[in-house]
Amino acid sequence: MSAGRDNLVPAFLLHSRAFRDTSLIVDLLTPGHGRVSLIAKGVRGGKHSRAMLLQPFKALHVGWVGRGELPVLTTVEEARSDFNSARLQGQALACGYYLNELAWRLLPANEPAAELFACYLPTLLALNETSRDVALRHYEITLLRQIGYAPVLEHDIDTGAAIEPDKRYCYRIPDGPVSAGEHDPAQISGAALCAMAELSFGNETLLREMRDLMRRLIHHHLDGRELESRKMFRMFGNLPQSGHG
Amino acid sequence: MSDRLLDDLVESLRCLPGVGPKSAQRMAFHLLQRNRDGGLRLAELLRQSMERISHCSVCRNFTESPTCGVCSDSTRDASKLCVVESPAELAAIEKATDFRGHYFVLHGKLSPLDGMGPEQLGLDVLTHTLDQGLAREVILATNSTVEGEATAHYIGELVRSRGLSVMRIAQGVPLGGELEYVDGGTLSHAFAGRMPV
Repeated sequence: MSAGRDNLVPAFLLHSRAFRDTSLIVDLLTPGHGRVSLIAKGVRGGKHSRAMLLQPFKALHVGWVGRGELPVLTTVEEARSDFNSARLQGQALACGYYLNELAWRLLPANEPAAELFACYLPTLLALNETSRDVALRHYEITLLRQIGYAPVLEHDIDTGAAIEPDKRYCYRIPDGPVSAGEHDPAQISGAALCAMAELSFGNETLLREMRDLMRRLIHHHLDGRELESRKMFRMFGNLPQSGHG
Repeated sequence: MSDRLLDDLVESLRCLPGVGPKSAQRMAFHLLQRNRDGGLRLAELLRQSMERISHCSVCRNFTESPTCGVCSDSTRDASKLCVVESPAELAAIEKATDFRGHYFVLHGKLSPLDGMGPEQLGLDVLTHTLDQGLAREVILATNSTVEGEATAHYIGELVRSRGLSVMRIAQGVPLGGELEYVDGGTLSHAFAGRMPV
């Protein structure tokens, strides 16, 4: 499974871990191969510029050779990009890690993920903006669609009827929405479902409903494992405020 | 049947980093054939070290006494506290610079995907040290990686909220480096942190 021999492949680093004395095992997000695990030999320990490049949130171009479980990273170059990862700090950085952790845990290896890749950089760019929540929901939906678990948002799964904005629904995880009875817990409004289906995100209340639904869906697909980046988000939220940074 | 001990020895040597079955076997045979005294000394020292070396109660560096040599050295400047990721980096700073303050060793960095949070980094010990009021200036010497920066940012906020001065070590062109070959990120850091001549 070699790639990038003629043309380097665009990639973002999701996660890296040390291997042996000077190597790294890196997990990358690429459009054509989805999540790829590669071994980057001899990049740690000082004078090699490749270790500096292999950082999260940096737009890269990579090439690799080899078959089997762990191909070898041969080339890595920094891509031209408007995004400077140093701008991500605090909770925005935790959100960046959230993007990486979701893709790292949920994307299957070596399956194309062009749609998610296309969505990755715009989401990163939005993390410092007020539109952060919108961008995160967009990324989550794209990811679920990419792995074949696109949430049902258009119709009631019991009756098949189209979702009506002014009705209340109960989302049966992971199947889809059914119209809610009076006392069903965790209800979501039809308006929120419609907005999510159209990827047009309205006001705060709708956004909160969407966030709760996406959280439940993702929790289901993660088999109940807790996301470490979410702990990091809370940790930065709990910092005493000093009026700066 | 009676080779059980040898097999166990080879297997145990593999707990060292970068040592596979083949190297482990070579080490075991070398000790048995040529250097039994060295092997015994190693075994004895390993046992003592594992039992007696623990973390300094003030800076979390490795030490066999309750507080390490640096922390109990009264000639050092306790008003300056340098935060580093690992004991190896402490040693590097100690060797290369004339910094004569105190240290704090994190033994890692904030790394959410690997489950490293504030508790694993002993930040409760750090805040305890800060609250004792000796340190006036904290120097953040974590690595210049995304995770190192996140760690510096987090600790920086913790320190600033206590009204102390926080510094980050400078980042830029390495000594003997040529601008043409320095990567874009480093160069932009170097420009942002330019200094009057």
